[in-house]
Amino acid sequence: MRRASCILFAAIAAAGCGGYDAPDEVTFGSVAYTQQAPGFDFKPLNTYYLDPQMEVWHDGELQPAFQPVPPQTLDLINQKMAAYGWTAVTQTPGPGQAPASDVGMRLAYFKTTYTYYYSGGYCSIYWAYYACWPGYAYAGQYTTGTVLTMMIDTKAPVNQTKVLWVSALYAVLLGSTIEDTPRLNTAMARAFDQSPYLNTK
Amino acid sequence: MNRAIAPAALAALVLAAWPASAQQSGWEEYRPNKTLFTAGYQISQPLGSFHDYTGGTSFRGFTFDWRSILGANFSAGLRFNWNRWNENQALATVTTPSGGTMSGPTFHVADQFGVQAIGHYYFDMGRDSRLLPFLGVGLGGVWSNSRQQTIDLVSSQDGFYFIATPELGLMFNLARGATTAALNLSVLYNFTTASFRNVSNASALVETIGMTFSY
Repeated sequence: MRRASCILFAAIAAAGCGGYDAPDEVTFGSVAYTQQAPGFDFKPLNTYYLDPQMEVWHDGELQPAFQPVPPQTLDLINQKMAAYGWTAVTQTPGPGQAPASDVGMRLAYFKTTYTYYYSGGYCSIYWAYYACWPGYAYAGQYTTGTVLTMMIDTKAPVNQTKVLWVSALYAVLLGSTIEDTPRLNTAMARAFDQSPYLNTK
Repeated sequence: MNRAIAPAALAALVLAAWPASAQQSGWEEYRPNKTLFTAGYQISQPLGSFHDYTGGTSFRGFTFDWRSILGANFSAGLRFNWNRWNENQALATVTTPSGGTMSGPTFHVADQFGVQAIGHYYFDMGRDSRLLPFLGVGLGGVWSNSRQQTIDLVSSQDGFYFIATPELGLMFNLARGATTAALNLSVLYNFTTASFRNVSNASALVETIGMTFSY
């Protein structure tokens, strides 16, 4: 009887252990967030320009040199956009000029050495436009390895910047180099797959 | 005049009453037929919207209660119990409050710690019977804590809510003497008003296996 009681109490004690902390596959996973401009209709649009260079930010500072977007990531985005009925414009716009397309996209890679709360503080020059992370979109807390993508209306007047679509891929480049892209590509594919409103067909 | 008389009359009334109560012991008689202590392990299944938050069976839980037999077949007492539910989804997709879409691995966890006044009715199966079926009910409060995590993004909620727990159980007497030991098996329905995220009235079906000692 005493042994049975001891076993029961040991089981009760063991039951209280664990189960509160997230497993590593969650903590070290990646998240894809996307959002379109409220009410915007993408159907009339046809062409896009994808900047082959990505911004690099370190602890909130834009680094002077851009880095090339990994070729596999460029291929992936082009495939997803083509599947949605878009046509790529590859002609590089001149300095201060808007791309000769309906929309333009660029990636921005964020590296931070501390936990950073991002809340609409991201702004940058997108060819002829000064564009900021839009107020309608979520931005959260992250450490390092976040890649943002913004789609800009490149037919809009220069002083009326419109951000049509955003994606934030959290922790996709965590602990890796820019050339190590499987996590980035997996999350980027998810970002397009969960944005069916981009389909212009 | 009346103002002066009123306090004096009140004091006289209190002083007059004091010797009368002092003549008695001042204690209520409390002679329970039996006192029971139960410690048990619990597994549970969340129900309704709580099941959507964290599905599957929880194997983390325990209960401890004290009961005092007040009549032939009735007992009253106090119960503490704790349950934890968690779920890990490799890929979950949610719509954010701003209308965006977020996808990624998620981890949900919820804790409930209940404190209840309990009452039980025992079906008399005869003195020599090893079985003692019972019905019970518990009413009290529950502290609820819940947390959601995806990568390093975390949100959590907590609060104190109402809990009501009907119970159906069976005691299987294993040993009898100055102290009686019995295996205690029961099924409970934990209804709570705990609400968080998309969960309202977080409730669960709970099964207990425990040991009851009575003397």
